Amino acid sequence: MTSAERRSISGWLEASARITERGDALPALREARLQSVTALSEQGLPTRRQESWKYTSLAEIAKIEWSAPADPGEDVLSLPSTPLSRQAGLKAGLVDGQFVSDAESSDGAGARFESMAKVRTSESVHVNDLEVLGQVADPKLHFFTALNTALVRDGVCLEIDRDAQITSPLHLSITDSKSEALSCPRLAVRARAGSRSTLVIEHLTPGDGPRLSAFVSEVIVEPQAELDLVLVQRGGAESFLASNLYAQQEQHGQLRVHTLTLGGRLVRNEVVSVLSGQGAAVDLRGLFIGSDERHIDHQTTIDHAVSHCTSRELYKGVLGDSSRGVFCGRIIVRPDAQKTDSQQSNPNLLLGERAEINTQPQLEIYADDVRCSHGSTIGRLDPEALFYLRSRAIGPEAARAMLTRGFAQEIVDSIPQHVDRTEIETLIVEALAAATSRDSS
Amino acid sequence: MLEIKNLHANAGDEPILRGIDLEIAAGEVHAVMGPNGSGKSTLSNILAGRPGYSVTDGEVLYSGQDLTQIEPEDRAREGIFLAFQYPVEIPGVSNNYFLKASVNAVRAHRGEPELDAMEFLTLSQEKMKIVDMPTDLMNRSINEGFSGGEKKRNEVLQMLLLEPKLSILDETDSGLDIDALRVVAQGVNSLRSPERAMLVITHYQRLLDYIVPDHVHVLSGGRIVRSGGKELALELEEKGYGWIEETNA
Ligand SMILES: Nc1ncnc2c1ncn2[C@@H]1O[C@H](COP(=O)(O)OP(=O)(O)OP(=O)(O)O)[C@@H](O)[C@H]1O
Ligand SMILES: [Mg+2]
Repeated sequence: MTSAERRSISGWLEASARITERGDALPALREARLQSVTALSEQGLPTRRQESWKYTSLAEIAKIEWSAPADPGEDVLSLPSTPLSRQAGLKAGLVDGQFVSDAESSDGAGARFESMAKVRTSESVHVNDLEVLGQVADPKLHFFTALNTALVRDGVCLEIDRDAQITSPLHLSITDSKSEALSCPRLAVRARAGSRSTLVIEHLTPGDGPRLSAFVSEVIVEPQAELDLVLVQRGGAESFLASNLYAQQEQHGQLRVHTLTLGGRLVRNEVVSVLSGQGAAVDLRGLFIGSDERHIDHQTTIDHAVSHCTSRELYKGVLGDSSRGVFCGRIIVRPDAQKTDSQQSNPNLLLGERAEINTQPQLEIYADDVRCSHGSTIGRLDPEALFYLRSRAIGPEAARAMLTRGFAQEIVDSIPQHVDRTEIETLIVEALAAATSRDSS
Repeated sequence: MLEIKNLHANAGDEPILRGIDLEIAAGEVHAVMGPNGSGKSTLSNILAGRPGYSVTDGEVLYSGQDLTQIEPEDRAREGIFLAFQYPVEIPGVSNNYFLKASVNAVRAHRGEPELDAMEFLTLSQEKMKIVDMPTDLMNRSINEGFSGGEKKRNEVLQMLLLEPKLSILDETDSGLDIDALRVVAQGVNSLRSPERAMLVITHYQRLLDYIVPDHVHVLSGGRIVRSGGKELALELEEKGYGWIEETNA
């Protein structure tokens, strides 16, 4: 460890100690906080010698003295208006770690957002009753989860009622607006049996200056429930964003995660999905768009713990300039998980001469009656298609933009209909424009 | 409109065209026939500006300008249209979006206002009727999963939308059933006018029953080995290409 790294880690450990000394507002995390502190002090910042960090360096993070998350303020903040919040139903936000809810919609039909740190009141369900927080994530596994768990002050819990059929998307905005500040947004979701809903999460870093955000979500999808998570990451050019999502799906529970990584200096996403009930299904879809020197790293683990489960993964990368992508898709099929049906694919479009992608499946199959397929491709724009468009009077730049957008379209098309697709497309087109602007291929 | 003089051209590094002379005036329809591999698609690709093909000698003038110096999109804007022998599939880009962009690019070049979504819908529906194309093909990705015949209809639809001055149809009839052939030919004929010219590449005399050419040329080994009127196509159908090689010998 460099001295800068040591200084960062010890600062964080001290901040964590202060939280626990002064009466922890999140008693559900008591045990996990201790584990996190141990993991951080023993392991420090991950290094590229570790297999899962082979292609991603956190050295730049240690160069900045990040301020630790502060006590959530007393001020009543208003919910930020974001591109995707306008068409949403029930809304909540985490503004620099402080829980904010929309008074008008805070208890809509079938679901509710609550502050994790809020004192329990008689009528509302408290986070402890959800049995999600600290139950699904494992801080020993991932650095950013340990960091979040050691330092989180408040977060959001979302409960979706049994059999609720929620047609307007639920919306959570995460805004990290302070320069050189570490933020630890946290989310706990329980989708009760038979419910159907969509949660859109927008992660933004308005203003200039570096940010470090370790976002952790824990999700339980109960039997027969269906949940679509749409995560839109739009960090600024100097922000380091991590999103670690841990999901557990019970019998016939369905989870679809749509991750759109449209900005950020360095983005590291972990998804761990445990298929723990028969008939459960998970579908992970990602679109990541890199420009300049940006670095985007996806690590996914799908754990087929029981039989008759289905998993699908489609991550598409568009990398311009000197940007870099990493995709590592791990599939575990446990001995009991017969009749597993798993597909993974990672097609990538390299637009920049110096852009790079490292992609790697990792299959650990211990059952014999299974169907598992995987594949990845790395390509450039199809010259035949380019000529076809040009021969129809479309200029080369417009043609390239059209083809690139066509490549991304598959991910957009699978986002639930009631999410504002027009806004999503606008955001994607902006990100693609940045990725193609200096391209000359 | 188009003057090809002593054109020698390569496909990749391979010399394919070995001295072609061909003049097409406004209002004329020329048919080009010839055995497989004789260079018909090479000629049409050269005219459309496809990368990978190069002119090594001779010249190609379009309305008096050296065509080889013009970018493919500018050729299209100036009125050259190639109906591809093998139309390209483009996943993720809707046919409708593509065709509207294409029509508007040509309109912008002509100094005409762009069509909005409604105006384009009206126009495209009118043209789709002419080629008898089901409307759902507009909402699908360009040519993706289209049947052979649907792809060819889509090419003719594009031609009708862009109203080119010089249309080059590279085997637009192959893969079409008899009814589709008639429909496609109707589409092509609807564009015939004293200002427009067409170069129709085909293997089958049958198409020329519907699109009656003013001139027929036989391309063989990268050269035009015989030219004549529409009766030449009939003669070829009867006697085969061997006949020409014999009579030239
Ligand atoms: N890129 C290339 N590199 C080398 N040779 C090529 C290339 N493209 C085409 N050719 C060759 O050029 C010759 C002429 O091809 P072309 O496609 O022009 O023939 P055609 O007359 O259109 O044939 P068909 O009737 O089968 O469509 C063929 O022998 C073909 O293999
Ligand atoms: Mg050909």
